[in-house]
Amino acid sequence: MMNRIALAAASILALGGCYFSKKIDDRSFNPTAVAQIQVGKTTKAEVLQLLGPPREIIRLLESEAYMYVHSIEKNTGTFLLLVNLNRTDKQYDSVAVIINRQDVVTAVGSRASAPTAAYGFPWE
Amino acid sequence: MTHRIGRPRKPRASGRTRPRGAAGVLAFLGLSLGGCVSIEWEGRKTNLPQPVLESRRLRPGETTLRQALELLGPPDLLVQTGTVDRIYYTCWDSDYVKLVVSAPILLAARRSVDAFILGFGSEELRLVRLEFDRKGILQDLQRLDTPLSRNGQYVALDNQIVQNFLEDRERALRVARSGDEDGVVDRDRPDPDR
Repeated sequence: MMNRIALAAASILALGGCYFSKKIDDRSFNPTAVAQIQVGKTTKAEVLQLLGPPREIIRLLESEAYMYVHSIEKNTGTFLLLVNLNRTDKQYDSVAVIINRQDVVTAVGSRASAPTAAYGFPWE
Repeated sequence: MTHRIGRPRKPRASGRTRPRGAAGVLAFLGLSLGGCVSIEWEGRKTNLPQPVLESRRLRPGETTLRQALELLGPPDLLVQTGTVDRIYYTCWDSDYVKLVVSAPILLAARRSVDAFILGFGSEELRLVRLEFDRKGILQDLQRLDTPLSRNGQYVALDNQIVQNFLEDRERALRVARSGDEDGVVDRDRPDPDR
């Protein structure tokens, strides 16, 4: 009986597998550059100089939103004969800069969550 | 006369049961190793819940777009709709366990037919929707902070805020793809998960 259990355990270990993958989307941006953006002072040209071209420009009622997005997605998979465990964690670094019709920044928001993406098991 | 020492031997199994058991084991191994039968446990996390939780501090009629962005960070979706600018913050977690039986019957076309015998799990969408007027003052705040599904049964898909979110996201993606003049101008490529 013990031999069979050992054989089953050895089979699961030998025939199983796992993978880790990481997907990085778009370039990250410098937090110090984001900190230099001042509401009411910084102009559109300066934003472009600091952060480069945005990923998206969204036209709003009285302004435009320049969206900068960088994401990290981490995937973990484990295959144990019959059982497959998969986990995906996707987190974002992003900056939204609102620019009015006079080309001056009226609002800015940033988030740096991409480094918190983690490998793990699906129940985590 | 000789005597055997040790455990008495068990009587042999009948000739019919052993081959049948071995065939069963072989069939099981063949199906599972071939990927035809599997138990899958999938977990997915997108975004953190902080912005949705922090949105409790916003006050309609008082909070400005600038204050909202400083407090909650950049939104996941912005759209101009009618006379308001609408922005969304989302956090989406899902967790599923399912037994999958698939039949790779169309190998030439690289397709297979999946039959999901059993599946259960939960899906949790935290979402907040903010609407700002032309002056950038918060006019409306809607929050969804309940599970979308439990054990495979959707409980909140009829919710208007979810429906609006899905429609606005689809609209934003469509506009971004076409480079429409009305709303979003795509500078790179839209992320379908956003």
